[in-house]
Amino acid sequence: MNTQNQIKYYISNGELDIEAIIRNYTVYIHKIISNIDTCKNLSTEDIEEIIDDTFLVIWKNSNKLDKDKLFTSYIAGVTKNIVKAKYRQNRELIMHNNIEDFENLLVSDFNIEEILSVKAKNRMIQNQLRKLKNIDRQIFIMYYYYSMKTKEISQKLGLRDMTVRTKLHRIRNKIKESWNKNGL
Amino acid sequence: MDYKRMENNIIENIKEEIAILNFQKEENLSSSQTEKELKFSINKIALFIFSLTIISSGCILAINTFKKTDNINRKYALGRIINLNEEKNYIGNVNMEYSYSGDIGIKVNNIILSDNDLDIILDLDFSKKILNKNSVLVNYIVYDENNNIYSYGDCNILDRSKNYRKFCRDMNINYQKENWRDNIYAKSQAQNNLLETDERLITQLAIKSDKRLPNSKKIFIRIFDIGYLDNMNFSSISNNNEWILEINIPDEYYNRTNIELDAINSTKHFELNSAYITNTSMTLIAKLQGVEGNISNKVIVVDENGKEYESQLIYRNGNLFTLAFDIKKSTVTNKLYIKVLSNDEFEKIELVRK
Repeated sequence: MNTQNQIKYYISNGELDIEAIIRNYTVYIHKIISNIDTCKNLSTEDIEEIIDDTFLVIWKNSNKLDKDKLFTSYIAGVTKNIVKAKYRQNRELIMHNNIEDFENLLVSDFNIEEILSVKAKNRMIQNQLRKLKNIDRQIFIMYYYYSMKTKEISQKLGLRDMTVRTKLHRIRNKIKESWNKNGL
Repeated sequence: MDYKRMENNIIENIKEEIAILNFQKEENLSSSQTEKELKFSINKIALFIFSLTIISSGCILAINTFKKTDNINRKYALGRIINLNEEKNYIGNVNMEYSYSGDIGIKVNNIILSDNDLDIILDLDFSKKILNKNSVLVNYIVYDENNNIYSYGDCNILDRSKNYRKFCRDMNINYQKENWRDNIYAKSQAQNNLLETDERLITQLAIKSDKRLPNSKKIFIRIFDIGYLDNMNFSSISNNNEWILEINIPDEYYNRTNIELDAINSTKHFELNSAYITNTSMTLIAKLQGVEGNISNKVIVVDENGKEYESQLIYRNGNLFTLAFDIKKSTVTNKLYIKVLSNDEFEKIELVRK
């Protein structure tokens, strides 16, 4: 685990290498969560969700990150705000370590609540995606996450290009149907 | 705690979440609906009304009513950077269906027009003819009802004026072989591909001039050709099809106003010719002496909060420079200064509103 690299070391082709970031900072975020009183009795699944939320917020705000800073400058602020948003209670969030206020300032325009709200709405689409055949889910991820062209996908999966395009077309329609059905 | 398993779960989950967000962004762009950055005030900009124009029998028509990036990014790599939050009340949304010529459909999604900028967002549909090339370009001309030519873009390296000559013949305009570019307003133009997939291309034409852009009632965009560069040769994929799109310019653009500026002082190295700020950017035309090399950090505008704006060179004619700055009417402060670096020293010039 290496948390001492500046953010710029995680940028490749203008994009954040989110998988490397997850590998290096999951434990760190877990430690932050463990120090929050409100989170003492959370299940592993809940903790995993907060960590997932933190990475998603970071990714969505990647253009706002100062590439010469460390991720640790942002992560505590984001995690704390996510916990606040998710487990909003009347009492103050008590943390046993000193999180500098400047970390909170750094993430004050990260629209955390909005991102969490979109994520919650997209949960239905995610469930729909998981019901697809494995190959269809793979095609969707390769196209929309890895930004591969259909020709590259077809070569990788040993399918014809037209087959990939047809499948993608059907997947989009299924997801849009689910989207519209749920008023999104 | 099994951190390895947790990391693997999170990675798989994040991939799905990001894929879904990218899918939604693509769908939002496609329906020209309310992706948050595209919200703007329709009350301020009238909806455009479009009509059909036929140029010649060889030209098939665009009728109308106005790469793949991994993350659809509204900041453009080249040309003018449009800040959609600052310009949200000034961007014109064009309500237009695709016009098909052959298998390719084209429409205009957005337009921004001021005295110093014209930005057109074109949307090309390739779903009937799958696009399997990257960095697709369009050869085009943009002009108005008085045949003022805003911009001409042609990637035919061997014969750059070929489509221009064709345009002049069609419009009955005299073609002057020498200095034919002198009649064209654009001195800086860029084509930025914002979205490139197998089925769709969204591209920005970013046009800047050293002269103030005309007050037009109508703007026409004629697309001669669509293709790509292959070892510096332009290969067409549009099979001799052409498109013409016509846009009626609303009063808000036609009656636009600017902040005109004057300099309180001049210096040994700097003499202001004119300066003005529009809804989209600032233009400065000045004589510079002894300012060499890359201009962008040698002539800077500073506002009253100390924020510095580097310059972009639009045009140079001897020692008369036309420079652009990312300052708009909506963001400008009361006081502005120019800093000019020459021989390792900065000279300061104060600008005032006329």
